[in-house]
Amino acid sequence: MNRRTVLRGLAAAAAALPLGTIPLEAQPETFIADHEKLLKEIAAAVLPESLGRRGTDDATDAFLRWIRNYRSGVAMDNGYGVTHPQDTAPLPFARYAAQLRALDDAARGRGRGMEALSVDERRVLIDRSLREADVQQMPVRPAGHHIVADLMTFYYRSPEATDLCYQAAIHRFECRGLGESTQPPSPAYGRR
Amino acid sequence: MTVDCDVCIIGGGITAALFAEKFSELAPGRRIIVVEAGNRLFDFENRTLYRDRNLQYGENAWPGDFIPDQSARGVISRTMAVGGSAMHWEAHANRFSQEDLRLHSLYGLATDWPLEWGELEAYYCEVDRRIGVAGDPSPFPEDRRSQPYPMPAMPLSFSLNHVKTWAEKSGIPFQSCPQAKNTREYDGRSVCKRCNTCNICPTGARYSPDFTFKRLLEAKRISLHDRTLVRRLITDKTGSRVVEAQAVHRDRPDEVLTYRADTFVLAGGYTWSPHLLLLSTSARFPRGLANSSGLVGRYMTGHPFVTAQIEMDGPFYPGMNEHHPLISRKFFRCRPDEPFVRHDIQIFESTANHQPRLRGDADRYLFGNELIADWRARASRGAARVRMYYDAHPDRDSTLTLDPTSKNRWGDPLPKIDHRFDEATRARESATRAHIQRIYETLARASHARILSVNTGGYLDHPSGGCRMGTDRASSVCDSYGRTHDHHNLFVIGAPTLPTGGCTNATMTFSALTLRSAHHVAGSVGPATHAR
Repeated sequence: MNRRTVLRGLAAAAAALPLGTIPLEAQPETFIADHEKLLKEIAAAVLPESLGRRGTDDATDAFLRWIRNYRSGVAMDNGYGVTHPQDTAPLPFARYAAQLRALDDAARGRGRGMEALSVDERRVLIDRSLREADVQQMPVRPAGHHIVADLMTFYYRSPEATDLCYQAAIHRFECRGLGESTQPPSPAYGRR
Repeated sequence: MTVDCDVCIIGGGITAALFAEKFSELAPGRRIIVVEAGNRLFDFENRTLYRDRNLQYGENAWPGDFIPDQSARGVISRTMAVGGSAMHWEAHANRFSQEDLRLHSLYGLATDWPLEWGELEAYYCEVDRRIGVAGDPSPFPEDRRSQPYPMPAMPLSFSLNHVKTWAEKSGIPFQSCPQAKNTREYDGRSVCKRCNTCNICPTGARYSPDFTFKRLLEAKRISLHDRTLVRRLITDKTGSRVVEAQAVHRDRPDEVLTYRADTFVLAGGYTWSPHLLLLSTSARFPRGLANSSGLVGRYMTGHPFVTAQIEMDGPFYPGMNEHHPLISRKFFRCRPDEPFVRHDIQIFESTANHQPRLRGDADRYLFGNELIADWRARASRGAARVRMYYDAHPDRDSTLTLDPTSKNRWGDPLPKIDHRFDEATRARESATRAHIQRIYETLARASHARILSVNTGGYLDHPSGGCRMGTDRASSVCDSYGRTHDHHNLFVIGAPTLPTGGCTNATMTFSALTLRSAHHVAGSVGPATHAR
């Protein structure tokens, strides 16, 4: 089961979630409609070039599906050793939008839109934006601090990115046979 | 409303499940009611979805598994549901050792347990069978078993096998940690598929008590009253016998429910069993029930732990099996003429220092292929998480008390737990830490390893105590079967009865003691008297 399969399944199952009556956020659709194009231009600069443009677009689409299916006010992990349960916070769409607007303005300040800038030029702008937000570390999952950091966290924390790093089909969190786990993972990563 | 039964089990965790199962086998036809404050989480068909939401969003993988206004200060898990903490346990099925039962005789420390190892060992084997444990025999003859594990051990993953090779260069033998996970189809449940999320197993290969409860309910061997909080126990006029448990259903808060039974069994774990006894005050029992010794809510225990992250030559491939450790029982024994230190060693694969990062060494952000290259360079080595639970003994003033500043919606004061070690434990603490540090350094001598970090756990794991067992009613709350000294039909089972907390995962010990209690209770109750 890979991330895309999971997300497809989640989308299909969302209406039937036996998880209470908390509705999905209303804001994501507006946010996604307004910013999808710009996010894909940014993704092309911050995600691995080896993915190619199609790969970075796909990863952005997966991130946007993650946003679409996010629910705030839901109890977070309450397992052994977790004594202070918290609820998921709302996604900070206003902050996200302001950060993207600032990046867009900065790109236009160079006389062109983000899509016309080189990867290196985009990274200069993104680096400055992350510094201004004082982004330090990559959390376990998107944490709402900065939209670009969240996009990067979403991808680089994924099983696909782990496979890319190790150049092996580890397929973290995929169910497998007991015997299979005793063998080294196939080097044919990225294939399903 | 009044409900009559033969046995009223208060609390619905793993000990309740196993007690009910065994008791109903030995005393068929008895009316058994399990009363649990939390919800029943029996929707196995949704578990894959919950798992996915947990992975993607960090949502609670067990939605509805706690009661917001029913918590305790000092607990390490807020789970209150049918199945209890064992719904999300990682199923490490380790046993204590003989030394745990003879600490005073062997070392002059703490206290002895009031039962023999050989008897307990037989019940360990029974737990193995009932929940399905996969394991290999220990390499140490002192760990001999009277019966083999019901299933062969979990195989070591590719990475864990490399970790074992590294770790054994220290001269310390390691083996696959016994697990309550199926290595073949067992008891109607499937074989483990190593989904790498044992805290919420999507296949049912890992044992959890809901399987037992569902089977008992389907066979009509028990009734289960969930969402029902027992608030008080009431005795008869003599005070020697509990006659009622007064409860409230969370959906009908104005209605008092009364359970009448021949036998009451407290199965609420280390927090809620002593809590209920302390709440059950009266003019005759101003300190609560079963408390003539004044020891209910005392000698709260568990085991402290130290965890190191160690990096060594690799590479490994983390993420195929992060919940299955190696274990060594080499240090379960301590010679009486040497400084006392007992502990286990569990080693897990790890990704410490091998995670992707946003900022590189030059304090600038990393993007794209450069980020992957940075990550790949660091991940070219292997890493392991090495955790040791060590034996530490509770002080009498290691307490669970009623906290007047924190109450539930019915106005009952909630528990507050303050752990405290006894003087001997505190006196040897620095020597214990030095011993553990030496083991880390010994491990790190092989394969160009280096210790990345050493951290002390901030709590006691696998907590227990609060109603400790013993033969002397002045220094214990119950006997070795959990029968309280003060009330002949009131039993406490599982975690609260432990005098000391051992130095490895404790669920098997809670469960083995529980089966022993069930055997005793079934043999000691009179004929069923359904007409009242």
